[in-house]
Amino acid sequence: MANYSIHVKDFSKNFGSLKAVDNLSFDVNEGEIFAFLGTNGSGKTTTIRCLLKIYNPDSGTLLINNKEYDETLNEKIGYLPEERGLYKDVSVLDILVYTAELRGIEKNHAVKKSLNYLEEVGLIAHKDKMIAQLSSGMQQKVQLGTALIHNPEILIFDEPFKGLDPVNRQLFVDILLDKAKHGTTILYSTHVIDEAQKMADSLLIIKDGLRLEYGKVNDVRRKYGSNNIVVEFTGKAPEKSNKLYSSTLLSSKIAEIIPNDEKVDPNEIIKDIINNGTNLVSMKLDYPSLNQIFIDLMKTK
Amino acid sequence: MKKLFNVAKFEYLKTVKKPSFWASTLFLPIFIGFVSFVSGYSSIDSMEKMENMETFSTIYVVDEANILPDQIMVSPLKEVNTLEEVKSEIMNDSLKVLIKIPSNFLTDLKYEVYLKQEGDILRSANVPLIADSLIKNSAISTIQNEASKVILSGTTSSTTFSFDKDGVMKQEGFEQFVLPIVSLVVFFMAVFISSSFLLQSVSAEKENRMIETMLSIVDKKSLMFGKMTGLMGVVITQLITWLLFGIATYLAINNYFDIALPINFNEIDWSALPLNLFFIMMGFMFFACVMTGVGAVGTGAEDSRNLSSIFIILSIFPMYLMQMLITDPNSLLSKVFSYFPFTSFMILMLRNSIGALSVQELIIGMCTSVVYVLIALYLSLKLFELGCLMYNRRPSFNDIIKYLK
Repeated sequence: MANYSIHVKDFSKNFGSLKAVDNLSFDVNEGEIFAFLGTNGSGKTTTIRCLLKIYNPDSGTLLINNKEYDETLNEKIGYLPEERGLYKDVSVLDILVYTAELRGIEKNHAVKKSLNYLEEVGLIAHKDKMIAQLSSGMQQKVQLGTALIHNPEILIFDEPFKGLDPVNRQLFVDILLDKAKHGTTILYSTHVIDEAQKMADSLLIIKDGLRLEYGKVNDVRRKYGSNNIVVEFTGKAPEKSNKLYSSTLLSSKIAEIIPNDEKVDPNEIIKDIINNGTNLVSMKLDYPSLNQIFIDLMKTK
Repeated sequence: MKKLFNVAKFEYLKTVKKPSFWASTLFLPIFIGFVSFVSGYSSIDSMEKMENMETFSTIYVVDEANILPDQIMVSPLKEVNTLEEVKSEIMNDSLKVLIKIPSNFLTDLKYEVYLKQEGDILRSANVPLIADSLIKNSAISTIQNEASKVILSGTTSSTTFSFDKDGVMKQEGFEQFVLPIVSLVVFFMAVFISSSFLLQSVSAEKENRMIETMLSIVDKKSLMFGKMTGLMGVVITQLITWLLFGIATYLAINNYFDIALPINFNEIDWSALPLNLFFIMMGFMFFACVMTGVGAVGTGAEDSRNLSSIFIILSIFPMYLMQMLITDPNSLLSKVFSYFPFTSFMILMLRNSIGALSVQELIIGMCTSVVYVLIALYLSLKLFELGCLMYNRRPSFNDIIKYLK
């Protein structure tokens, strides 16, 4: 338990007769990037809102840093909701200072941190402008600032890339990766599966409130892939068959290696191929993309 | 508590930093002052005009009843025998009119006025006033008793003295109305202006989607009470501004025109003030809760405004009972509406101001006020929980009942 930043066990939530989330369990480890995947209405936002006590759960345990969410955790959490927006008639600086003060930062320090953030995201020249005067992209940056201004240990972002242009999306990705590099735990829900494959350490896929997949990204991909290895080579082709594997030529320079046993370590196979005099140009494990796994799961389950 | 204070401070500053707030705060008294001045001036001006016979070139009089003495027939009055003699003049000249006092005037007290159509409306209305004055003064001039003449020519007025429970006598004046009027103004300000600010604040927060961010930082109660406190501060700022504005205006006028205010501030009985403040505070809390709930269930600012209108109509209902409340503050209707949630606060406050509440009624009124506020608070918190994150639709009545269960 000690290594979990977020611990959810047997969590359920209903809205009248609608079962929004059904007996969901998962853990987010300290310092990892955790992707929460699911289609619209699958229960992601409900789970996040219950985690932050915006909604009350019907049953189950939802813990952040080993305790239920309360005001003391406010200073450690940065939250970016899916349905986001800002007061239109308040200045950029005022809104950042306000949210920082609400999170327990003393005013002078809050002003300093806000100015630093605006400098970092290129909005310092707009600090006195009303939110309504900013472009949508600029408003998103300010919104992100309200979640990051207090340098939280845990970031909980609900669809952070929603409505972002490619430039701002990359900016958000860079900021998240930078935060993760410095040890911040990140839980984020998303529809952008490709991005999750690149960014996330672990994932959870839910549909209609039920958990479909959960685990390390590579473990999940491996689960849905074969153990086969596709190799590109020059010169001598890999052996057709030996005690570790058999191979099939897909073209004159590409072969598919099929292990004889699931337990055979792929590294052993590669070593064996090289020792037998084959020059390897490239190799890849035959895992499906996260996107493909996600689509298949949504179609079949 | 600190978060509540932060929310209150933010809501307060967010409003008072807006130039539009100061524009409306300063514009309102200037506008009321301007309207009062124009209305008063035009009223005096029109009264002066109406009492002035010189606005006509000729006022012909046909006195068939023979009640007007000859000595008053001076210009512009001119006696003629029949309408036909001057009819063409009257038809063609709006400055010429005719008053006919028929021979049977003393039986029904009716007389006739003839003038040109499409003339000045004010001037037309003036003629009966002139005729009334002529007839009245003619009648008075025939009275021999000087005392009767004085009484009939003037208007009587009174000065009231009252004795308190210790037998001390004091002169009653306008002072007794100061507290009810001031309380009513403060009540309107606190309840309607402040709660409308609150409605605007909650519905705008929901409309611009800031509410979820806020709820992730501040608990619902702190957010609600913070907003209420901040916006109450806004109203107090407005009241203080208007008070200072009033004092400054009074001092300025006093220095230039030497006008004394017809109120002796030392004579005002402030003993009802604490309870009035209690009812104002309860009324504010109650309507603030109502507006918060309405703001949370509406789909946006406009929808919430529409929804709130029904509650605003209910809340201003006591204004229609004002005459009855003043003339008969202990009538059955006054008592019934003293305990109806939407009207109770204002009626109890007014009845308290004029000393019409018995101790028993006062205790019941205070208890019901607190109960109404607690119920409103509970319901508004529930509506806030249910509606604040329901973005694209308004919760149905069934949704609300299910949620409350």
